[in-house]
Amino acid sequence: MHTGRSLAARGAMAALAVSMLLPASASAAVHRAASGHDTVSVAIGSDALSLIPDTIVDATTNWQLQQIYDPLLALDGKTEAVIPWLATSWKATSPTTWTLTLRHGVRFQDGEPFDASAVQFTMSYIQNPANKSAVAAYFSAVKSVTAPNPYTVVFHLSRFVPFFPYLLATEFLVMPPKYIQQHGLKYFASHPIGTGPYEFVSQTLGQNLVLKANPHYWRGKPAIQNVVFDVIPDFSARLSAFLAGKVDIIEELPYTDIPVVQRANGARVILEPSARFDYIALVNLKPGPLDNVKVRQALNYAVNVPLLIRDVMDGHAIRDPGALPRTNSGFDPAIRPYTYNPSLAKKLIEEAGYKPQDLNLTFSCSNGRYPMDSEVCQAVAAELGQIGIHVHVISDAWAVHLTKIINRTAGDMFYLGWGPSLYPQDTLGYLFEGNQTYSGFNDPALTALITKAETATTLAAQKADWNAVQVKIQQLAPWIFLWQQDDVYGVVKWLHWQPRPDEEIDLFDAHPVG
Amino acid sequence: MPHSRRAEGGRATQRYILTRLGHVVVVVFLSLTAVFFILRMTGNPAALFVPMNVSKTSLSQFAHEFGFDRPLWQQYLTFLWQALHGNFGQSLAYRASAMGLVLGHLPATAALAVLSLALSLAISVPLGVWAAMRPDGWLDNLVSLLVIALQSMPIFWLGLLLILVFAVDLRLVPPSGREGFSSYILPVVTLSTYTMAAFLRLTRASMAEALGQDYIRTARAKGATPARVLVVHALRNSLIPLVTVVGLNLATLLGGAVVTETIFSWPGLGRLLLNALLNRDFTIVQAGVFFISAVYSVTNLAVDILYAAIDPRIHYT
Repeated sequence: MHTGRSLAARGAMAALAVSMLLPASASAAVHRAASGHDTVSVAIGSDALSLIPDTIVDATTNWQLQQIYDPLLALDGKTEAVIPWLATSWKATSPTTWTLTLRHGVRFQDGEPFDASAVQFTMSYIQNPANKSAVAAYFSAVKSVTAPNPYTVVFHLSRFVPFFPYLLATEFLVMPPKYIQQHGLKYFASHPIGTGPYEFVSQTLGQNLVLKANPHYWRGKPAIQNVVFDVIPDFSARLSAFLAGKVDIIEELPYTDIPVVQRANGARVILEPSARFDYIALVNLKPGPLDNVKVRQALNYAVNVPLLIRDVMDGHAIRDPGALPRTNSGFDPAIRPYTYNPSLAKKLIEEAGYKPQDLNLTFSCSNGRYPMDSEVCQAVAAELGQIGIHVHVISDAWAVHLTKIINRTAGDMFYLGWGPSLYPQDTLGYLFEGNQTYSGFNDPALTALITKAETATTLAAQKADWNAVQVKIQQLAPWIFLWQQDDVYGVVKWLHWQPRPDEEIDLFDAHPVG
Repeated sequence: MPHSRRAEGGRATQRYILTRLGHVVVVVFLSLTAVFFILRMTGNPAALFVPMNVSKTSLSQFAHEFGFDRPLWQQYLTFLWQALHGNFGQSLAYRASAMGLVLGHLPATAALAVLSLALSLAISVPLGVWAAMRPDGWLDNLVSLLVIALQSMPIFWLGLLLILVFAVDLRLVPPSGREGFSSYILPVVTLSTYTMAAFLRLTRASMAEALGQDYIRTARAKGATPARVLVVHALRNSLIPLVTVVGLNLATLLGGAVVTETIFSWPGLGRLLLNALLNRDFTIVQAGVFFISAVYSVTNLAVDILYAAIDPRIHYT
């Protein structure tokens, strides 16, 4: 009996071992067969967390889902202005109604026609609490969506939301109503269908998302037949996958690795000014020197930003004069940057009742999250040191750095990036209204100005109000204003592909060179 | 009376196993408790998880959905009660069963663990035996050198080097991922060096010791063939320490080889847990810690039971 049991146990162990050794998935075959120029593999940092759109707020997920689904409106790949997409025109027919005309002849990938009912269905999906959509908060002002005819939709809002077209361009991927009613959401989650340029083939978590061209796409059949998003979280693994020819596009290449890619055969580097910007928050939430506006202004005068861009960023950044980057539609070109003036900085600190030598500041920094982040922090600390300020730089891994910021234990100053920054509300509202975590800043007068801008009822009034907010921020100096970084991509030479400032990945326009 | 003595022995074994199973339960419970509180010591789980540009309303909705807005003791009791029923909740990021995700990533990790252990044993046991047969011979010295080299080599360095040479330069094997047989080669080789040095040294030492024992001389005197002396008499007896070490290494490797899986972008448990930890996906971390502590304790127990099968001198009381 003893022997029998152990034999059975051995058999079970062997079966377990064999089952575990089987090849991972069928998608491997797709990948291998695709050695010609009809397949593009993109290295990406993480899985698409859900294949149902409009549910999770996660940029990496969205970049992948945008291949399968189309938004109602879109953002131009260069200017980031709102452009027609599934809707051909949009208009605020009153301060609280937006009327859109829909495109004719668009079909979902199973043949279901796209019309107003799909728009209504998508909004009701987002707003249904049972679906737990994190996107719902963006559309909290929407009371109802009516369809006077199949190709016109009217959004009825409870208040004036001037950036509503941006929401339809960034947070509203259209879902197929009949398909979902027929098969249910659970089936849809693993067999997604959209109107987009690529159809879903398979997803292996932790490994890849495989897509194929939609031959009936309303803009025409994509030039690239197969697309694979290879999930490679670790940067060095991404770079080696690219150098070994396993993937064709990699993002977030560190500036120091640019020569490595340039030297590699069949590869090139593309630099794209990002809609993401970097800043150094000067935390004013507790009493101390940074509580004083003069000290914060002094820190801006004491840092030579153009020099940092030239020497530390290798020229791969554009200076932002104030709190908004140039990609933001609300960017006020009248704002002038702080000019480098260390003696004025010392004077301001003395006017505030301090001596530079009295200032002992802790500066929290991420290490490797943004291009050259910890190098920039060291350089800033050195510049502040030149006028006598003691700055203690603490560099942490991204997860630790972010945890400190969220728990508000990051000290007096911290380094952070924010993006994509497209319209005033998405940056100034999140970073300065009330007591905000990611700026570590609170100023009641500024909050009042922002609330006024948000509740203005005409576009012209809004514009003026947001400009006033930017002037106020400039004067309050809640950050050391820095720059928009360049995003660095490695791309194979045979592929023509253009990155976008908002870091979305447009593969429809990609095609083999020549 | 041989019969009753055997029955007694059987009962003792049963009692021993039951007690040890009790220990397993305690260990797993303590690990779960520790991970639950340690994770929450780092801050509010909901605030740490959600992306930066999420409104305060969404944040509180999210906290409510996952129960993070309730008192800590309530969260803890609910967590234990659900864990008792095998329910580790939904992953915060994937919105799918956390334990399902952990088990879904197990095959990739298990394949790596089993294959690398097999490779490691296939090389280290024969080499170790051979070295022990001629102590201080050229092979023995070579083995000592190899052990030092393997032990002092950082595994990430070796992994990157192998990728550079065999994937980037020679393009013989894929640099990362788990797609087909060839993608197994580099990670299995890399991971096997992790255990090879220890196995090699252990086999050599215990084999050398066994070969000096009286019963070996007796076996030789009886006229047993040298091969029989080596395998049946010496090797079997020197296996006991090796079984322990192999068992514990298997348990460790089943928890995911974080470094190897990261370098090779291997879709296994180690990388899943590391990323869950970095992205603050608390439920996956909790499910993973449960799985690893259970596997580790049970393997440990299995190893102890195996002793008796190998060495009849060992009894449980």
